[in-house]
Amino acid sequence: MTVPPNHRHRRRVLAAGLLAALTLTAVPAVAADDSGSSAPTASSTGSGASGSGAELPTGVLTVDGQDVPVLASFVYHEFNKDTNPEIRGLIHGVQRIDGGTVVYYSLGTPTGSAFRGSQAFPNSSAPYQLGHGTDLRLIDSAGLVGYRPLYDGETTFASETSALDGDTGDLRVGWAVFPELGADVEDVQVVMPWGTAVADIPVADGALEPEADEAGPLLGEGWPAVPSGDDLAGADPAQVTYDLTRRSGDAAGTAQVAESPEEVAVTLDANVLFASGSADLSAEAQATLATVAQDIAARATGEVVVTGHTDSDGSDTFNQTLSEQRAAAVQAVLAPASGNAVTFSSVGRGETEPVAPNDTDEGKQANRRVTVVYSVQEGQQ
Amino acid sequence: MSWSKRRALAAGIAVVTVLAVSACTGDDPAPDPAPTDGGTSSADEGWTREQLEDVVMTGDIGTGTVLGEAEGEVPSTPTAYPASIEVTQVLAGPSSTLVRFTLRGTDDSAPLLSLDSFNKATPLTDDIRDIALVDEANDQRLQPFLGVQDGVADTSFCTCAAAPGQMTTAGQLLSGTFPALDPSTTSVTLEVPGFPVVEDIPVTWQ
Repeated sequence: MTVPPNHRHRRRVLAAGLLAALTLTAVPAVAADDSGSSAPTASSTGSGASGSGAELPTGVLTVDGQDVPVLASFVYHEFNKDTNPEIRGLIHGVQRIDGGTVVYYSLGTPTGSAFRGSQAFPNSSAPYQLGHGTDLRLIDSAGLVGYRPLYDGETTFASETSALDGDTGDLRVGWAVFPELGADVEDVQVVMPWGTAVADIPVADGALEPEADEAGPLLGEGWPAVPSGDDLAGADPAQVTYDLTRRSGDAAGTAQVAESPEEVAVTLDANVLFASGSADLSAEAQATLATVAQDIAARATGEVVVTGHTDSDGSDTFNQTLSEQRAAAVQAVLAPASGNAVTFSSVGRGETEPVAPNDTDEGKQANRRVTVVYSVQEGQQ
Repeated sequence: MSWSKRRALAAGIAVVTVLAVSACTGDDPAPDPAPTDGGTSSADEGWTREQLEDVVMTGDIGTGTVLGEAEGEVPSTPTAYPASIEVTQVLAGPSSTLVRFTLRGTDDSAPLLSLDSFNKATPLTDDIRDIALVDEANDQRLQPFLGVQDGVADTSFCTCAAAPGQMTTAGQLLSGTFPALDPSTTSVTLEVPGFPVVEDIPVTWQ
């Protein structure tokens, strides 16, 4: 999926505009630390400051004479139970190969009598073959695309967990192949088993070398062989490709934006837009809606659907009517300012589609909302 | 969901401390040979596999330093359980932000936690997607990405940790990948359901 180079700018324009519209007081200057510097400072290690133990280096290390990229680290507990030993490891590369993208990692455990690779992964299940390390994700956050490892009818394109068996303290190298990334993707994120997050990883070209004879070599003793383009030809990338939703909003949570590659859904707090029981828009609402209209005009296509929702206080009839009126009020502001490339519809759902329980004030506040949903023109995400 | 209200209604002891990150001291253990060449990056020094393994297995790889903490209750159903959270890393990159924190029980009960503790809307996805990262200076609130196929939310995945099934005093390692921060951001606030917000967490930039 090719993403236009200015996609991130457009998303941030919407988010920044909504935030500016909802700010009731002057936005404070970026907080400076006591040294007077407000610029972010780079970490030389990428692993955070160390208060105990040695710092983990990053970059390309020479390990037993072999170049070993150390790009990020991760740690989680076996089977996600905090009383189990830790699994610790490194990310060594996200490499473009013919027909896919291979993630190289190494992992092991610091405690216990021996290490079994199966301890580091949930049991793989359909559509994957058993006994493979498949609980990884490759995330293209800029392009809003996520991937699981590739497979075809016969083969799971990931390390067998048994290849990672070893002694306590060993780091053995595993791999998983994902679909090809877009040509302009510069960095990605890897999610290791049990949702363990890893930082931004640069994308590079070509399988790592030298190739080892072992399927799960010890770190520094070569890299595992990875599938060829012919091997991967039978895999269907669509089966393992996910649309990502980027969730953002203002600090107070009064405007929330959920953006996927093809759609934007803006959820506006009705308590901010309207007075209680009223469908008259507040002054603050006008500014917020102007920002939404700007984004619609810039990149929306098709129909914009405005939906009003209420909590459960009051009668069904009252809530239905109020939600319709509120949706119509929002549409009346958006439509004239959103250009000619879209059409509008508004609908009220009353109290029928709550997002939170109505038995708390907090839940009721969440349910009192107006949503604006629109599709994004291709290439404009 | 209004986080401002949630903050006000958070049950349990509201103890929030921010611990200054301590610099490496001269008596911290270092690999041998020590990568202390001032003219080049430590990345150029030769390592043995055993040396690197030792650093990985025993060093701080993002979970050893507490940058901020809070005590509260895990909003498990039907019973909430007292616990603490310790934020150990906020690592910002050009495309995303990595946050690591530890969830720790504060007594010996070792309870099992319900799937909706940190995921009210879609608990069967088995993750902690309700956590949030707030950049107060830029008035921005971010949550982990969600991966969706065919528009089905119930089978979506989160770029965040699996839901902790149990909780003991050992500490459950949790994390999340959030959207990128504004380049000017130097500190953030972490919101975890059931806990007071953890503020002024320093950001490390890649």
